[in-house]
Amino acid sequence: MSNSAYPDILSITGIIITCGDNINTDLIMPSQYLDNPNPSYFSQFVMSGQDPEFVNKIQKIHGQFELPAILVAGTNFGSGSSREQAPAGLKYIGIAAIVAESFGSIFFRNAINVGLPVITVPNITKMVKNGISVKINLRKGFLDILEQNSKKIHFKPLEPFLLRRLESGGLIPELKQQLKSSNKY
Amino acid sequence: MNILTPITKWKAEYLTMTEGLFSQKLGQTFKSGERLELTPDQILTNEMLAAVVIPKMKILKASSIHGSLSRDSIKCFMDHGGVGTNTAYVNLHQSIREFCLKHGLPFYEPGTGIGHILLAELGAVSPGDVIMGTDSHTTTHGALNTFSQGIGGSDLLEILITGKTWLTVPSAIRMNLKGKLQGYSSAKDVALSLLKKFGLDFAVGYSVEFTCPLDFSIASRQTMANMVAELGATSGIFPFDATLEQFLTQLHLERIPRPVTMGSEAIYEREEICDLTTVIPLVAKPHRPNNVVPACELSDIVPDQIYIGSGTNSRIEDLRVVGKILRTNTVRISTLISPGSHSIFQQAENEGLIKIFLDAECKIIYPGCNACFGGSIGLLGKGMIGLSTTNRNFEGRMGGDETTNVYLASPATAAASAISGRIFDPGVNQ
Repeated sequence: MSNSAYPDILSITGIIITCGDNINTDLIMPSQYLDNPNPSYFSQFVMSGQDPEFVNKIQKIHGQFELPAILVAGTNFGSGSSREQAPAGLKYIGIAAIVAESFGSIFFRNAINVGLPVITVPNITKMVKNGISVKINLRKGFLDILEQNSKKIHFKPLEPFLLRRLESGGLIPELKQQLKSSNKY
Repeated sequence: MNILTPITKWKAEYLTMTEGLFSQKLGQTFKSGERLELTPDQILTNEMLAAVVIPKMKILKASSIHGSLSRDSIKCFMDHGGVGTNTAYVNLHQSIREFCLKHGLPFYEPGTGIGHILLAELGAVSPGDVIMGTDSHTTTHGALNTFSQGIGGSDLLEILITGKTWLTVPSAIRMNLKGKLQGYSSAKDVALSLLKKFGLDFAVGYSVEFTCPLDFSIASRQTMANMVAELGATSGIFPFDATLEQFLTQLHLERIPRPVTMGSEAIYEREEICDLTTVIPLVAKPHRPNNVVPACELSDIVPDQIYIGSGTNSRIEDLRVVGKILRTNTVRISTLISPGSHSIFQQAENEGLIKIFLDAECKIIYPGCNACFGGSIGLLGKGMIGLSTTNRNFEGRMGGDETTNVYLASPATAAASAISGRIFDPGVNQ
């Protein structure tokens, strides 16, 4: 499933699934599955280097809660290789956003480019746990924990141009719009 | 040497090298944390073109590259997929060849060399440059006093179509390298010692700005700048000094150098000192580059294969050390040596190193990423042990799976291990 099922990409409600520190792109998208560029193929193996049951767990969350999953990670999420298939695969299996203590810099760019919201919140792994539901408002920069008496965690919102790119659904739809409007003249 | 020293409108003494470089390039003060738009001076790409850019340009029905981009500033190196090693890559290479021909982009055939080595050889890296590449080890070029950052395939697409991309000016960590390397200790061991001490997330989102002694060679700086990617850094920058100036005089530079220096009052997020004198030969155990122990503690490990190559360690300086250790010896473990570029290969031949390698019964592999990326020659299988001079030892990266164990070391440690038949400290007499 893709994020297009959710009307406002900048306001997301989902169920948290957690992972640790330093999850590199070889764990997220192992290189042996990169010879076929079709996301329906490589997405079957998302996070298989870290947790072979990961894709099943995400499907279970969808089935049980009818909500997307929000991945919460520790430091340096997506470090290592520059492969775009890593965020593309996570998005394709239905991860609606990633909240991490820090991101590998190329992964961060790739995620925005494929239209997958990425949010940096220091110490987030200590504030939430698996299975709870949260609401994220990317525009205003807060994360509402819908349990635990609705605790609100604030973060610095992304720059408007990055929010716009996410809203468009990523770089390709954004460029498509740009090229369309420039061709008019 | 002809060097540009523009009149500065900002107080350079308050800027880090990173901030100073962007301020100089864009003609106004930029401080860390600020986002900016720019056209990189040089772009490096590889098979990512066929994996991401070409199909997406088709989706967008974009038939041309933005007019403002100099075609020479976009160099396409076919280094990851081997030389006719498998049909999938052969087809990718052919589609890229056609794309480059159509758009007038410089295309470097498979087997010519590793992009990160060729780019500097070609004179396409000049102090003060902003270099972006669709490869995480683009950081390598920071060794020549540039800001060099890895980007994704779509970022490149954005540059090709709009002529620009964005970046955030990172805060900087200052890393002072002091003293003198002893015996067979090398820059690789320094990088491994930093990984051991500081870990994989030490510099996430930061630029690491180095100071170093004049005798810390350019090849050593390139090895270090390559490995800052493993510390999580966005980039690593070495100073402009007499050593770099001398190195650059041997090249035909595409742009006039615009060196940047550390401001005396610049604010660093953190400052660390590394004493080169105390660095000993080290090895990173599976499956992380920071899982580091002294080489002498691993003498019970018997690798199935040794790989000497990669953008980290395949320069002539690396091959000379390997030659010195292998001379008049025979390897006891299957050893693959891949010079980093065609001209390094030729230089090694001229210096008699290739003969030493052949006499030692090593296998010489054409230049390319080969085993480092697990894309072509030198793959390992399940349960196998590899010792490699590359930069990462993540599960399955060099072929095989989580049962495949890759150890990372310097060229000297790799060569000493090759002749002793087990992981061996090159500083110890065999």
